[in-house]
Amino acid sequence: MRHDTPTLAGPTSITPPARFAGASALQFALLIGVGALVLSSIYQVAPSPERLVTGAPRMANLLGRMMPPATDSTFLLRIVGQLIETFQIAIAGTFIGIALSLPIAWLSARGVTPVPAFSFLFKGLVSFFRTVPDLVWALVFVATVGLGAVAGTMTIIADTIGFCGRFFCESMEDADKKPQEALSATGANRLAILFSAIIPDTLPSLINAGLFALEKAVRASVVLGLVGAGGIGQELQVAFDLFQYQKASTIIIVIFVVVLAMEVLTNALRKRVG
Amino acid sequence: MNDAVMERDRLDCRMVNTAKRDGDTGSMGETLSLSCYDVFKSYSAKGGLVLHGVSLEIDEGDSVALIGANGSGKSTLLKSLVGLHPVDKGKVRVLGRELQDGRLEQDVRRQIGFVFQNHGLVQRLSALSNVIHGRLGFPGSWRAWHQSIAPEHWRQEALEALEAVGLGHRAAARADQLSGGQAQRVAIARALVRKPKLMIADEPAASLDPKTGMDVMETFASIAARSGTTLIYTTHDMAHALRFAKRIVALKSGRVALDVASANLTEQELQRFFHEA
Repeated sequence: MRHDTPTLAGPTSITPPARFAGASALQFALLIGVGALVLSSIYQVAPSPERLVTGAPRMANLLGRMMPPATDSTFLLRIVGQLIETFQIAIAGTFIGIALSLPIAWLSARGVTPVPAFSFLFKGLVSFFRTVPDLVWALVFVATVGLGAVAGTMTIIADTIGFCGRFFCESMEDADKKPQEALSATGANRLAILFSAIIPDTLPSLINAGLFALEKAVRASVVLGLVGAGGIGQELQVAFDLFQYQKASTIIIVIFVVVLAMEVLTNALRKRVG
Repeated sequence: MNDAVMERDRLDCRMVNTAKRDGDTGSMGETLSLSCYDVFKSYSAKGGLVLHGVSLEIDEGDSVALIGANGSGKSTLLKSLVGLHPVDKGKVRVLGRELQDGRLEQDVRRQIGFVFQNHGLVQRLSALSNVIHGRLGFPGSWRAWHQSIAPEHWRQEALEALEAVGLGHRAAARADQLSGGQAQRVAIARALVRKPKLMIADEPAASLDPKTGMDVMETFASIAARSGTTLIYTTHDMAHALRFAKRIVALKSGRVALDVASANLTEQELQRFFHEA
């Protein structure tokens, strides 16, 4: 009995992806350029092994001078006051920032905005708020409204608009279009569509972005004091300036606990949003 | 001459000639709910015409199924007739009012109920909130944004509309927890709270299984018939066209190719028309 021996399939029309054939002259030049940039940056500003070796004992010395953290009641009471102010800066700044981000996002969102011809202006405004770092905003507001918590709150507002303005806008652009079309057919205006369809549809992502903004604001508000914009950061700067390292370590521990607690809280809240 | 051609000729003989009439009365003196004459529509200069001189008159209380192959222009016609897609040329009158710049005035729009293929419900809101959305476009409509801020009588009417489509018990359920058929019924209830004189539906049963689709159409058509509401819907389902419409209008390449009372047709005849389209 004769059996046909199975054979490999013959040549097929499938073309496999090309093998790496080497870089072109332009690709090679780019590769060299990027490599040179990375290496020169590391050489000029990254810590050298010698500096790490010489810096280590100093770090140990500093940590030794920080211990034990200061725990006198007058100081702790003052820290609690500064902490409350820090929270107030973060909460007020985030709340006002979110309230301002919503209309700005609506006006800038493609396919949603009631002023499509001018949406680029609002997008540009959000980009501007986002690209300027918060410490720069703090310096600007300290120079304009003076030292203290108000400058800090204004900084958080600007930072939140830059962050939430973009995320809110993207959420609104990605919102389900079918309900919007259905409500538009009934004669609903743009504002009604925003509140009836877009906000309910995007609420989880709006809340998520808002919680991230709050978390970010708490982190930012503790350092704003370093440039005189109020909060616990100001106390930290004074402690370092006066070489009161035990007080500084208490403040750092408090900041760590607060930021960690805020992360745990916002993570828990985010899980509940669905 | 083959059978198919003979059949087509026989159907063509039944075509209703929609000659232009004055005002809002038809040739038999009946009141017109909707009329259009020589309507042309294209989406772009390059794309060519989607509607090619369509003329149609629909009497008050009538039920009309718009049929045709994909791309025949039936959805475009439906949306153009109520100003959702402005026409390029032609005259359209809806509930006694002519479209201005292809747009429908708000007070006329309030008398129209819309149902779309994909129901268009806001998924994260309750069935009740979605039904109350039907009140958007009415005075004080900001209170229709959500059921919790709606006036009590709107809530009551919305509940009654949900009862009418058999979903009173699901009023609190979120739209994303409803089945496809239930969601489409909620969309019908949303149209009903407007107490419409004219109901427009674009393939209301297309995304549903055959049995659910038939149930939804049954609900839809019987409510419209009971309230004397004019009903116009597009469909690909010949059984839906024959069973729930008094009149069938077929489009072919943007032109009315057939306009006939459904009682004079069989499903086979319609299927044959489709295959030739």
